[in-house]
Amino acid sequence: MKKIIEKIVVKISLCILLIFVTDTKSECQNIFVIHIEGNARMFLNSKESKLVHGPINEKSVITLDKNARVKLIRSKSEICDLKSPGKYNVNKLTYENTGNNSILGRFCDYFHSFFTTHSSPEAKSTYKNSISAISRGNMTVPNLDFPLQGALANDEGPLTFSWSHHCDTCTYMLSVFDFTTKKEVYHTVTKSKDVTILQPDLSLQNLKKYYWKVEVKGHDLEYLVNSFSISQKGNYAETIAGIEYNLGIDEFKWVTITPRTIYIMSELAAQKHLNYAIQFGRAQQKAYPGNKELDTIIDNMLFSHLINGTDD
Amino acid sequence: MKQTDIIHALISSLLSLGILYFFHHLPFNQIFIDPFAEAIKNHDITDVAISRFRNHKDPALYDDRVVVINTGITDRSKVAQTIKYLGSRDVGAIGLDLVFDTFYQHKADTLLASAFKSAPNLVLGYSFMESNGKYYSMPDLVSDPFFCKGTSQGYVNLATNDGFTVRAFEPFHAINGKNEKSFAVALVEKIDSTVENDLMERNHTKEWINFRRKQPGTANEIFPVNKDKVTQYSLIQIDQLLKDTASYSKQFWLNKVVLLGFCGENEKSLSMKDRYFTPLNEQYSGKSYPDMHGVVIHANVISMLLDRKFDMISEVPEIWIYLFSFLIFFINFFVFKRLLKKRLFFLVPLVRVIQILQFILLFSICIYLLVHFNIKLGFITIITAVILSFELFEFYEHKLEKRINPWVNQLKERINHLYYVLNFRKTIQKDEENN
Repeated sequence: MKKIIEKIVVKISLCILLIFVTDTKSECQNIFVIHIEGNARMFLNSKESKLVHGPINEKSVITLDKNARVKLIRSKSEICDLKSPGKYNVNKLTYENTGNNSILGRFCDYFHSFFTTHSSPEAKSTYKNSISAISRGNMTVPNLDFPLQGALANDEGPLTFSWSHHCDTCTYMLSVFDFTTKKEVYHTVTKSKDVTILQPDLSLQNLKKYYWKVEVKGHDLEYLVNSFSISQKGNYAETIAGIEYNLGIDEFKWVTITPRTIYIMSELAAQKHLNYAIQFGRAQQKAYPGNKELDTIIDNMLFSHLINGTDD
Repeated sequence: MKQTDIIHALISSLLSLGILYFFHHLPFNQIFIDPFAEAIKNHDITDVAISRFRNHKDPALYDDRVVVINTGITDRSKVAQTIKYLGSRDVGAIGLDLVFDTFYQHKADTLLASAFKSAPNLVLGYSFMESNGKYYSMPDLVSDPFFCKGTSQGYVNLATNDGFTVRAFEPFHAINGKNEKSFAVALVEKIDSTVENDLMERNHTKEWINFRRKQPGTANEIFPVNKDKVTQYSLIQIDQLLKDTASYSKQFWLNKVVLLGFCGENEKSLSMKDRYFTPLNEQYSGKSYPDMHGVVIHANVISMLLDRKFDMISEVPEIWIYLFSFLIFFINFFVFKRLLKKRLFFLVPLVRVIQILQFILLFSICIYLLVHFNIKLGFITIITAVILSFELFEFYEHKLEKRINPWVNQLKERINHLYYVLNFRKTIQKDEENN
């Protein structure tokens, strides 16, 4: 009986060891540039060149100017985010694990959480004055989020117009106008803060410029207006295929969907195809509905461009 | 009851109390070991007592001293008109739970600033960013100086332990190195100048809010906000007031605290903006949605301050809670000892039944004290004493008692000797007195 128990214990131990070994197996140490914002350069063997998306030599040095930002990825989910201006040796950078780590790491994180302080709801002294029970403001105009200025594809399925506004019960009127004739080509009334046109090619014609606005029903305000141009049929697909080809997408098949999407979206944004970047992100979001990171990435890109403004 | 048992019970209870104190002050997230505690970690006894054990349908709860005006989506000219109107109606105080941090340079801005200047009993709300240690708390959301210059102000911050449940507030807080008053205190002070002194005398940094009155409004007459459909504050829509001022007599406004704030875009909307969880939420555990707008929370604080002689919640000091826990350990020691001597087959289940009964009794006492006497007895420490008492008793009985016994016997002998000496002296004294 004792021997049987010993055998079982040994087998279980081996299984656990095997799980840890297979889970923490070594990964390819290739480094890729997946995001570039602002002015960033690269030096390799004293030769200066523009920093581009894709694989980067470990011996190179990256220099960032003011307001520049570069993101590098190593192994499966180790990311290095460079934000401050200065010089960085690629092989000396510290990478941050994004949480997709081994089971051992997750065990460590879990046990570490026991040592975080916990305050009882009965302990009044630990309460923080963090709730500001106050409201503000007049009726504001809705901010137009998407589409942004620039080229927009109408041949990639449903097209979603979205805006943001602090109102829970407002009724919105979305109108799209022909830029030259000022004729209304699309109009709808909704209570939500986005509208999806299921067949945009029926309302919006290729190579034509349009402008759009969102009004709050019952409020006569000075509303914001934004314009966009419908690109040539097939241009969107060609642009993405071109990026994938230039980057040699087959070479980094190990890269999961999230960094790949960031990579292509960043490249589209760098080519001043911001609407394409968001459209691509949304298409990926639809294809991988469980991926929460994609939602954040799209929101971040849209938000950062809305805050900083577009160059168009 | 043997003398030895009493000494053992005292030692065991003191040791258990030490362990309880140690666990309570460990910088550990102790609740990971207990899924029940994990489930209730954000819930306080106040939530259960207030939401389930109070009679919310009591008509006496209608508070005619406070009126709430829903400003909806803020229209500055309408707010200006309302303040002008209230200024002519002898109201006690006007509280504006709105922040006007943008100066648009429109006509409405001038009207609003002029209305503010014409209302001496107006209090404007603002918020601060809390800092600890050597740094001062700093103002955060503040109205533009064009509006707030020369106007009384009070901070609207409410205290929370999780970021969304309001249970307490701080009457005074040092902002920029200066002791400032909260919004509710500043408003009550306009009609009752003794409030500041009374609160200072209580000397509590933070006060529990004794929530009694639910969120008014037809859109809120649903579970878990106000399923009883009770009205405990008059809620007036700003448009309704301005359209028909004649329907409100001068007597209606006399000496009242009028709060202007956001309670939804219109009377039909169930807006989630500026809305928080309170102990009045009818679903006190699990998933729910916030039940009260910030302005109604301020109204509840004002009502409590106006009734401060009998409505403020007092806390049982920590030393009393530990004394109470000591008694639980002490009594349970004898109960378990007696059961152990009987060598019952179902000893452990029986002990658990006793613990459950004690839990029910203590829980009922806590609820009763809070509901009827506004006394808050810390429940977590005493209930932990009940839960741990049997395990600690067993530990003492099996591991420590034999080792401690020689000292206990020594102590017993000394006590007996002392008792004998004292008795002997008394006898000698009596004999001397008789002689």
